[in-house]
Amino acid sequence: MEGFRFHTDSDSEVIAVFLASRILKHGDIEKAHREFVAKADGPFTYIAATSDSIAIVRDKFGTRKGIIGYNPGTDDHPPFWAMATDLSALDVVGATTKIETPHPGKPRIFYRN
Amino acid sequence: MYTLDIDEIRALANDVPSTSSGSNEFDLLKKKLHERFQVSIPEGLKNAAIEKFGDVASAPILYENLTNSILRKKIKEGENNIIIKNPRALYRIGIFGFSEPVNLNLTVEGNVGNFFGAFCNFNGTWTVRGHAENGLADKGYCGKFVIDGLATELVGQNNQSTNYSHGVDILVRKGCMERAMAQARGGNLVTFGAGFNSGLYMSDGVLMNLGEPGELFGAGMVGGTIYAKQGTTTGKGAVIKKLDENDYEKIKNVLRVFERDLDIVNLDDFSKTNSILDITNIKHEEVDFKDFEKIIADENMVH
Repeated sequence: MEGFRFHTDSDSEVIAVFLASRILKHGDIEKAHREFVAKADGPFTYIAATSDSIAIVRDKFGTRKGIIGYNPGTDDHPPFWAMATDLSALDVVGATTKIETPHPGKPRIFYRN
Repeated sequence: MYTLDIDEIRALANDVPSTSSGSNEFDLLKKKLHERFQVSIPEGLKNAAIEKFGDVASAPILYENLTNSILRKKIKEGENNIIIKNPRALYRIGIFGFSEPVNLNLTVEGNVGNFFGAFCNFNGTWTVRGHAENGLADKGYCGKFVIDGLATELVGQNNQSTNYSHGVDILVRKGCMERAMAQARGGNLVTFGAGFNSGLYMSDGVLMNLGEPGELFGAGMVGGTIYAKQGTTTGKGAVIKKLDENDYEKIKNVLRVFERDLDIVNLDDFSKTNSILDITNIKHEEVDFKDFEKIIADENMVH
């Protein structure tokens, strides 16, 4: 990516900068994720949040793990979805009611109500 | 019967005062663990733990190594019934490195981490009362696994069929995620759901998905058989065929291993003309294998 200043030596920063640049260009977060998947080469799973969305995205071959699970909630807390790479992490927060694997290359996006 | 509570190891490690070098910490812990379990932790683990995790007491590789050392010792002493408590998704439990199959029934109460039972070579049943992560029974030679929960990617990958082993028999009650039985060279997997690209590059063995139809099964497969519900899609290199009488015999043989685990009451009578089985997994259901098809290598693609 040319013309951008990077502040860390983490390759994850490239994803954030890419997404931000695409949102600035067309304002469509889902399209931005799809564009990243189309352009990126290599295995990855990332979670990216904006002010009104959070998404888990995997490379188009699904070579890196990424799973989501649902916790139906109790009297003490509301229901929620959780994202992780390992089942045991979902288990710790009780988010194992509906476990899904996001389709390779297809962003799974949750929007703020 | 021997019970190993991994939290006991954690408690011992937490009692050791941490030091800036980690060296004294390691020596103290080594002494304590030897007193309690009569096993030694290798010196090489010290630097590996400090370099990767910053200290000794919190390094997962310490618990992996100790767990397997303790179990190996017990097996050598003739123990063949072991329970593990509080695994807390610890990686690589059950990698023992015995050259001959050992007789062992192992029950793990909780979730196991990556590579549970990798390279396994045992007679008996290993049961997980929880979930399993990537690479369950990776490169396994022989043994039977029953996983009560889910398993993530690459269940049974590289299962090894050799002159003296037929691979591992695996039942996953709540289903597997992606690439189940990838590159399997033997073994049998019965699962209630399987994710994308299952059966990838299979060359032998059986993948039987009794759950919902899957996607992109069998890409690049050159051998082995996948049984799955109609509606399952294939990857490049695989073709869908109807079941013939031999398939029913093969299905019967695979399910025979799990006949009691799945409470199958009418397996003896199972055939192409009597294709419905009463199976109780999470719940009771009648599974009609007339709704199934097989996925095998596309001979036009295999050279």
